[in-house]
Amino acid sequence: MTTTKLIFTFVGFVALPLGAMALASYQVFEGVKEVEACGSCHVMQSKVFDMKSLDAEGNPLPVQDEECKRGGECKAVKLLDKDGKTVKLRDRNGKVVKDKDDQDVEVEMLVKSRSLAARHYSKGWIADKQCYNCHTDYSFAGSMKAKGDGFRHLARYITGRYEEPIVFRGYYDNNNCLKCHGETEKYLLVPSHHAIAEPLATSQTSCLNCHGPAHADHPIPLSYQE
Amino acid sequence: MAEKSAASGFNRREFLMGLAAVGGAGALGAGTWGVLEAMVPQGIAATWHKGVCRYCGNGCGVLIGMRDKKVVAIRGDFKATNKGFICIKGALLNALNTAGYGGNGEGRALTPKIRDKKTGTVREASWEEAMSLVAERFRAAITKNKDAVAFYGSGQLLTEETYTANKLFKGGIRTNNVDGNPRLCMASAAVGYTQVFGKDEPMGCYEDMDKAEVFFITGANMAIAHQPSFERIKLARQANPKSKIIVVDPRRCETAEYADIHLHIRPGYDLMLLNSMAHVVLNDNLVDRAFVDAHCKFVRMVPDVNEDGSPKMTPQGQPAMKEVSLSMDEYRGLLDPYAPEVVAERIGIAPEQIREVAHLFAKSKGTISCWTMGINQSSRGTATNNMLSAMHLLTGQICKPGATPLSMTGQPNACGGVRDCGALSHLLPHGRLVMNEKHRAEVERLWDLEPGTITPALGKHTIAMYRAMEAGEIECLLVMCTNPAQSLPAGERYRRAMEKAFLVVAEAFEDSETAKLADVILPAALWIEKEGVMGQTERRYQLVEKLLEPPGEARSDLQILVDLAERLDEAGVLSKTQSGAALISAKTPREVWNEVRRMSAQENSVYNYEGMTWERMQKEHGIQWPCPSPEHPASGGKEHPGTARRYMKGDPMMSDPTQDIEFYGQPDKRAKIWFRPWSNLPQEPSEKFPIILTTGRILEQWHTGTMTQRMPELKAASPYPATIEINIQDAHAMNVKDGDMVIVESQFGQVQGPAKLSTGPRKGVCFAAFYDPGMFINAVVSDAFDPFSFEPEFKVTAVSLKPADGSVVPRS
Repeated sequence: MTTTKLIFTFVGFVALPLGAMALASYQVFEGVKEVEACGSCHVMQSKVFDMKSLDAEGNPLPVQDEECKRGGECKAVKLLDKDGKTVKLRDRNGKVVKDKDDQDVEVEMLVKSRSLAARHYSKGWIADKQCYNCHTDYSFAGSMKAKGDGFRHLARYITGRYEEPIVFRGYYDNNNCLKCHGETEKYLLVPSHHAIAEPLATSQTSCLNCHGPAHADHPIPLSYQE
Repeated sequence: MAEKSAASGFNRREFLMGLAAVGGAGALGAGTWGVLEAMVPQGIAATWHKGVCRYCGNGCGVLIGMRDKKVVAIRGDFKATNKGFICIKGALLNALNTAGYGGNGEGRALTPKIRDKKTGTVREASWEEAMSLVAERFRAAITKNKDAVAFYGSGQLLTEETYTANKLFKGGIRTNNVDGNPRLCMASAAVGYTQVFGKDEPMGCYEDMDKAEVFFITGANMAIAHQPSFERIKLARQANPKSKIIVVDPRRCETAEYADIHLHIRPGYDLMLLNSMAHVVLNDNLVDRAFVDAHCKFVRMVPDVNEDGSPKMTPQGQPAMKEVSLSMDEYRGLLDPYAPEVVAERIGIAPEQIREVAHLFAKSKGTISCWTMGINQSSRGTATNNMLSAMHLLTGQICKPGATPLSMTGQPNACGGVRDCGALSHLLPHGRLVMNEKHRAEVERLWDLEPGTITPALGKHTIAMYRAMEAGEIECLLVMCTNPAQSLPAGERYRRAMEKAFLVVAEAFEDSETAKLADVILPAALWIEKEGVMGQTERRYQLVEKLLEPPGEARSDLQILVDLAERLDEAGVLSKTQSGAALISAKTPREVWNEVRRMSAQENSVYNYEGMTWERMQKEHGIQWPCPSPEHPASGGKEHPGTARRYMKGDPMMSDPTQDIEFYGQPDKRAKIWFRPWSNLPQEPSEKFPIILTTGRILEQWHTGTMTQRMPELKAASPYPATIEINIQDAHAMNVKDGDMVIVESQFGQVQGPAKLSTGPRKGVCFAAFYDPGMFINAVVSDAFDPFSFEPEFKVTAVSLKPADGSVVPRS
């Protein structure tokens, strides 16, 4: 076999496939940083909907029931439009309320989901790849632990060996919060942060204790006993 | 010779090798999966359990993480009313049960101890010896005079424990000398609600914070004292640009830092401010006339007179008062002297501020008021509570989502065990009154006692109780789960009173200031070392489950009370039941809870929570009463554990469920809009005492610090000694610098502490927190009290400030 043939054989059977595989893997690893990638899995979808202030079906969230009269019965609730900026007034049956010119009644949207994820998203604190920015251990440069978790989740997903609602094993690493907030003046000026620096660093005390749930349907620990 | 398959081109050997390779890869994959499943970190805790925070009346649900029979982690419970939020104190609860004995080997009471009066030293004793001594001393005192003994409990006891103590003392011993820390805390709110609505406890709930547009926070530093609720308010504020946070406080406290409007008033002038706001509401046409006409009436108190026109006197020799109804015009006329332009200067703010706040209050889509000790701990506490409710009634900012007067609770179970179970000197369980013959008769029937067993006279309220000890009238006192030696006003006086009595202290920590005065210390179980039910601000009951064994020989307070009841019964000083059974027959938390539930559903109670079965409490993350049956889930047409809002559609206690609103606590179903005139403060600045002292808390310490000072993280975050916050202009005038030791002196006592210069308190005002036993600020605080609620005036004491010989202490 001539050298040229050897090179062609090597490129054709080894280098190209390996390169393609590496590129594809990189593409996948990078692609999963996108919010859409997380949202494409239906067990994660609810978290994306909450972040974007959408309801369980991906529809706009009802706004504060300002029309509620005394007695607690709401004559109308307001629902968000898809653009997330205006709300349409709907009656209790979900029908859009019309004004005297038969136009849909619209008002400015006021209330969004108040979870940490939704606040980070709606205030534009994180420009893109919002899921990945707070869960930085996956992706190409992520830890082997995350790779292992990914493999485990894939195996469970393919074999259908999971139950909903999914529950949380392990614990959330506070460093995901501290990498952005830990050095800020606002953080450093709170005496309590210094008092509990150690339990915060080891994630024994969760940031969420004082700052509230990350997601509206925040996952509960696996062994929690009802 | 291998056979070639014509179809695939593989021979058998190649086929089998291929199969083996696929199988191997599959096995490798499955094996890797299995290994990875086993390798997943389980987190800090092995199991998680539902619980309730041990500290304040916010009543936060927590998840308790356990491993190897130890608490290893705490999380806010996302399913509970606090929606996952807890404060730094709650987040460090994992160390509570080991701090003090497992942690540093000190402080936790592990065995009963008896003090030798002569030497002042304590020695260990068996339960038998300690309880025999306690029972004998109580028996001897009761035999002489049943009112020579008293019980002083707290909102930190479980409901079952408070109920049992109340039954033992009022039903068994027949003394109404049952009081406790809630008298120092929530009494003005309780009496205030009762005077307006006929029944105690708020009608609203935390959910109203999500829906309100105006937050009127007065006399409450919620950002540190009820932080999880304040986080909720901050989120609602951020979500609605039209919303406003209004804070009324003589100090620019942490909560005021977040306020849209801060009314920096003079201490104690809240009542004048509210009267002035009511004046604006009535004169600027801000009254919700339809609501007031349908559901309210105007009332005031006037001196009662005999037929000959002479003033009627009470049996105590005080002028008797009677309630009279008014028209709205008469009411408006009575408020004339409170025009903002007339009173603003006295209050210490501008008239425009009063007008602006009154208009915001009245016109918003929902106004919620939140208040705590700044209002309650006052000689005008009840009147100010009345006027807060009056503002809501006048403007119709009540009985709709987002609009309610919501009194925030100080102690965890004051709103449940103490107020609901009637463990104060004037109450019987579930809103029944000692002075009401019908109520007494009903309770006697429910407790299976002879008619006439319960004493008809009021028992001694807290200040009267300790004064009676001082006078030698009360000889024996049982203190449970609280620290009066640090929390009472005019503290040195009442410490001396406690030293005169035979003092029994059931407490988890033997180094509390009260335990140091005790003749007998009984080691008590702490938090999840026992089980029972806790209440909180919004009428919600939650179950605390037992997850740990008490250390040493510690016992639950219920076990201690049952033991005492058995010994007193044996000694023949307890009243007998008609059936001959033991009076304290319910001996486990579940049995007591079942008795309490049943009693809540009887004739003269409107607190009905019979539907909160133990099983339901185990399952649900808190239930709000009224909850008359286990099936009662709906409130306001929505699925809900219990009843979110009272007195409105969805409340099962309304006599007419078709009505939108019914104030059924009042016989005529009308809430009372009180006129409460201003009366001068008992303590105003004088030449000798030119500064007003006001007291409060800090974020990292709870109440008298008995528990939180044991946590290294919390201790490190708190100044020791506690500081005296002085306005920077006053400090300049006295030549006091930051950290200088200063002496604070009032007519009640004096204390030294390091100065902290600040622009927080108004000029002429200083502030100190009361968590530090080493800086006993309550020694200086006034013990004047409210004429209706008997709650002492912690918030307004005239003091002098002077440097302590130039000595300077380093800042911690």
